Amino acid sequence: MNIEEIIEARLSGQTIDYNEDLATQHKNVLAAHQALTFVLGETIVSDPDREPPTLTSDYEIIGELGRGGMGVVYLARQKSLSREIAVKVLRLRSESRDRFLKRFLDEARHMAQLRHPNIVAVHEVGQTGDEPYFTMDFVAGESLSHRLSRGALSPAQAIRILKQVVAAVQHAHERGIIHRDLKPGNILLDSDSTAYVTDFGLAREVEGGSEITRSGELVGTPAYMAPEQAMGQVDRIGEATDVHALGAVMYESLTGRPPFGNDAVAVVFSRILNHQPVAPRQLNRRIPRDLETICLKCLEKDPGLRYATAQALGEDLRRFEVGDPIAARRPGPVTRALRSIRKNGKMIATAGVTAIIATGLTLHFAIPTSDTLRSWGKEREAKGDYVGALDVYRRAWEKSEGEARHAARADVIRCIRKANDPKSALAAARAVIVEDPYTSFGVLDHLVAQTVVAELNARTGGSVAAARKESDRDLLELAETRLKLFLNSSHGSAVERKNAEDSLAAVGGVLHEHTHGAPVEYVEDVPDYRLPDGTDFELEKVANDSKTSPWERGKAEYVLAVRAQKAGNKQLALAAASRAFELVRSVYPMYSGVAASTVIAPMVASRIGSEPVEAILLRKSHELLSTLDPQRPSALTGGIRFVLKGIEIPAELNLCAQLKLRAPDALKDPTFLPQSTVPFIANRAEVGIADGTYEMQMHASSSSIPSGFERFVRLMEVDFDRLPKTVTIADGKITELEVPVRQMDELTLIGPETGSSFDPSTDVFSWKPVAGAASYRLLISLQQDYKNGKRTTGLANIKVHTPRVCLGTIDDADIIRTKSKFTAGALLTWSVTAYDKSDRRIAVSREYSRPLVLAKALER
Amino acid sequence: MEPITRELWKQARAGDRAAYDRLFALHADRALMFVRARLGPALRAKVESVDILQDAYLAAHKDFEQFDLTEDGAFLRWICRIIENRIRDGDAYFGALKRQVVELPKSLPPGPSTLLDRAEHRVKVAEALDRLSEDHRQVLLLRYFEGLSAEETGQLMNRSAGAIRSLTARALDELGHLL
Repeated sequence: MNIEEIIEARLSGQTIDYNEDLATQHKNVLAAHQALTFVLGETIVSDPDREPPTLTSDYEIIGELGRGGMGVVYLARQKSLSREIAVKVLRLRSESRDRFLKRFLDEARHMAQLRHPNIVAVHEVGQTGDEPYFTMDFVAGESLSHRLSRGALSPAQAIRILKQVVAAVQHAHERGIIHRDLKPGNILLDSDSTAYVTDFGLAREVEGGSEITRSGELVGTPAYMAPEQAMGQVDRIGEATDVHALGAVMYESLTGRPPFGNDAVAVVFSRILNHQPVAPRQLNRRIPRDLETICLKCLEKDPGLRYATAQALGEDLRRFEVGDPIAARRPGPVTRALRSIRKNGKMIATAGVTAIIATGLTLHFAIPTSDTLRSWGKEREAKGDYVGALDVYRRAWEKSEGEARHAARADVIRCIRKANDPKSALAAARAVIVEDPYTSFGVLDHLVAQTVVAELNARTGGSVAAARKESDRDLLELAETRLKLFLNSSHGSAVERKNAEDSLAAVGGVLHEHTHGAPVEYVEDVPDYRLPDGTDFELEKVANDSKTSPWERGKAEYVLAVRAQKAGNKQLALAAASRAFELVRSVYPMYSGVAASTVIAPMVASRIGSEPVEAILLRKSHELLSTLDPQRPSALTGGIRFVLKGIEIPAELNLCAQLKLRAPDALKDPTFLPQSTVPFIANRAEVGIADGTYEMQMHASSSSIPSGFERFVRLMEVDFDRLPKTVTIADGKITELEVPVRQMDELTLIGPETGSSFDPSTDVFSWKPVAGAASYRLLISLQQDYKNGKRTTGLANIKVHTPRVCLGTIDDADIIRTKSKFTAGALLTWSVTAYDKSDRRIAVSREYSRPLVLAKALER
Repeated sequence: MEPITRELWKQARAGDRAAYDRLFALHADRALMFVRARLGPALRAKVESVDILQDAYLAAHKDFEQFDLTEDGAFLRWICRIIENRIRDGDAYFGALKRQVVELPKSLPPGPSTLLDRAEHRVKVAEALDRLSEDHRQVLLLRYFEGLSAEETGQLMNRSAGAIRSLTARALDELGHLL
């Protein structure tokens, strides 16, 4: 047995048992396998658009409560007993349904077997149409996870809830049912804090149950999984697996966070398999030591070391509550030493066992000092485990005072910047800015600012503007500082910066009693503050790194050019400025407001204020280049003037088109698509474009149509495909391009009449022939009413050469495929388009869609 | 485990345009991830991943009638193979402008929180794949995305099946380090 065989087996969908040593040794291999399978896998999503089912007349559906893996849960009223119940419906169709049917019915069966005051009771299992459902108690209240989102519970509250959950799980275990997916989200609390366990969707019987889920598949919720689940060791899953989950629930109830974090699955898995959770008392000193011991015993990696049954756990909780000594023991020094041996594997030679045990002893009795914690952090950091290092550095920081505190904070800040796990990095950053609001975290600054704004929103109920200058001053000032810090950096996309500017304006509005949204100092379009800082050496590194995006490189070159110019090194400045201009141009060659005197309609002059930063930098680098060498670049006055030619466009119509330009050289940045919306005024649009040759694509963009012009727009056809594919702008001149636009004919539909009833097998769709038409397309759609509005489904798109079609006789693949949708009573709509010999649209029916009702089903 | 794919595929085959769109939208993110990883940073500077995906989707559209969803995961593997062929032929780069513009389906809005986790996770995996050595990346793409056996992969990479098996494990190890 080796790791290759395990992977091959997994790849071919089989399960294979292996020992933990192998798993530990190859934890990266297994984590990567899980990560890839997870990423390529698919979550089961039920169709959001489907209407609620029709149940027997005794039930009336009131609304939707939620969606789970396999179905949707509705709230319904049972008329005969005049009570509210929950109905879970399996909402997957046809064959895939069969695969989940067993799991669904198993769940219903499992829950029906269980009658316990802390388990949601099942009343009835039935079927509606072809969708099976079961009804159960409706618990009016919230889930434990919802409760915990407001903060951890007090130890007394936690025990009160946990005892009920443990009793429920014990009841299930006694009937041979393992829950396998216990988590705060599956525990419901009513207004009296009575707890109910629900969602036995993954439950499995201990004896005789079949494993219907494919091996190696993720079953359960990563953050609450036991190691044996995470490793897919189906045979080892048993009562102790649920005990582990109960421990995880207890842990989160007491500390407010799950024991192995909430990060990406691979990270959580690696922690489940290899790390002991942080002791709860280190997170919250108020947690009694014995309770911590009970919790950690549940979370032992080895199922044999946990409480063997839920009952044993319940018994220990009871003892704790009445003050008797608990049965659980803290791991002794030997256990710790063994654990450490297992963890460090080969590092330990036999001769060193005594020494290890001695070390175990010291570790056990000494609470680590901040120095010890820092040295652990250094170790982890050296290994590249920045998240782990961050964790201990934070503890060291919390423990230390004065100078040492300062040094420890520096450790934390360093690891925040390196940690590739935004969640722990952000949490740490949030703690740091309480002490020093001006610390920069590089690329994270945007998220840090957002976090503060989000807190502010949460406090004020969603609107910064509703904040109060006095009572919310702390958060307002912090938000202002962080937003300014972010905007002063060179990080963030244009959208992020825009949002930050808006937030800053709102915060500033409250804080400085400006009117809301009034411009504050950072909204100006001066791009300099968005430029990178750093030493010349650092900037040159960025500028010369071909793997960096041209945009970042362009900005670095621009700064270098400005510095060189200030230093009087003209040659260097010129070279850098010219590279900057080329780089920026390759990213975004467009600028607004063509300055040439030939411009008739200054189309975007009013918009310069909100010009994209790329355009601003294009202009800036061009200005700089022109100052340094007036001969070199042609003036930034050129571009394209698009003229719609063919028909008169009414002045009321503001048409828009999307223009996509690419410089056909190697400087393209795949993440950056130079695209811009070009608004036409009357029949003209002008776009400023720097000199160069570009690939060009243009297509229609949605424009709002003033009323009274619908018909005109419906019949207007712009032949964008007749524009040249390549365009050259030279010497700062304007290139004029004609965009052919024409008016199509109006096609007159004859029958069936609007809203008439129609027999699809014999009745005929017909319309007046169009001169010059070589073919027509008849488009038929199905209209359905849904809870969330109407829905249109295309049924057929039929190409014909005559102006008459009878669906009963026509030989068309579309009709054959969708025949079953043409049922009696269905509401259809239809429209027709005419095409000439070269497949250009020449006429359209004035109506987008004429409705009709099917009198009969389609027979053919 | 992919009941929705099968569901949508059946409806799309039956001519349901909305299902067809959703089917492709559902796989857009993962297909794009394959494109990114397959191109690698160097090629990505020359050609836009989204264009390749658009192009592959057009090709897939033409062959959709012929595609048969024989087993779970087959749809994504089929898309990945089309992408692979388009890239190999070079059609994707140079044909990019000949074709008409199709609107690329937006990926579906995340529903349950797991979908969001998955999206975040996908970014991490995509970045890690980028940093793998060429051989390691290739073997993982062929085996996990295109679903080829060790033997089939061996033929493409000119190695024995045994060498592919150990290469797979080494590649996973490197990926695991980067995650």
